[in-house]
Amino acid sequence: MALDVLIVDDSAAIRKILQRVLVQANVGIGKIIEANDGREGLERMTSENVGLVFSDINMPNMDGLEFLQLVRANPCWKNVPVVMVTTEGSQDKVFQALQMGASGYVKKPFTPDQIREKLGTLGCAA
Amino acid sequence: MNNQKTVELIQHSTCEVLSMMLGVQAEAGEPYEESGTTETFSGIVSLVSVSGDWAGMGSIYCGTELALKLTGMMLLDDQVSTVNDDVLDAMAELGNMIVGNVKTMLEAELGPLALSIPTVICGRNYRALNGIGKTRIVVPFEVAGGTMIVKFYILPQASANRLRQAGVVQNVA
Repeated sequence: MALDVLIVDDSAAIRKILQRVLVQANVGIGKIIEANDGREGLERMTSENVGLVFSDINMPNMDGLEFLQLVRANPCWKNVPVVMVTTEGSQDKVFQALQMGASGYVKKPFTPDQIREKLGTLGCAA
Repeated sequence: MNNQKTVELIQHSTCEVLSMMLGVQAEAGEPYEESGTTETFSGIVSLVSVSGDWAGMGSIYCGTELALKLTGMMLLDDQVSTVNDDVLDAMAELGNMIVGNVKTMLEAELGPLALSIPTVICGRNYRALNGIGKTRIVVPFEVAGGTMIVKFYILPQASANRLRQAGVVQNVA
């Protein structure tokens, strides 16, 4: 069954690029839902049946780490894979995200192959 | 901080971001140092600040025509012909990735640093001051038939505080 994917990033450009890569990856992606920050991300999680999340870390209003924490705290979403896509390549932030339950991370800039590879590790192979 | 090393980090980060996200090769020009006020500029500048035990700012300068071209490459859209939200957002994200990667590489030497949300300014005949009173490293890049300029400075936070108290450094973004 196709997974609906939520992309949380304050950059519309990054959301468009990720959306394009996900469609081209041809790995059974269903609807692609977008959110501008963590707060909007939580709203979309509530209103949609999200099966996979790609989230930035450094965002206004609610950053990706707080968003991740709240997603993991909700029993309905605790098993939804959340991949951090971020410029924050520092070990500190990455370690923090993984400790909080992130399923992995992709550093910006990224190539389509890196996103496809990450989908593969999550069991979304083509 | 060693200026030569910072130049190399800027060159590496800029070329990597442009190559991976836009599929375009950039050629770094001769780096130089700049202090005092800058000349007037027309186009788009993306400002991203770095904070921690060391603080500073990176900025990306790009003429309007080149910004439209780079946005088109980033979004795979050949219809980008005017400066709209997509263009400002793409330039913000380029600044975020270029400065963010320089920051990440600097952290090995300087310790944890935080990155601000980018600020983008677009206009004609304006000055954008990146670190008043400080020497900035400037690296020009030839890319997609135009010139993109990356400026960066970073200094220990104690020095930054002293300069700020003395009124030499002001927040500009």
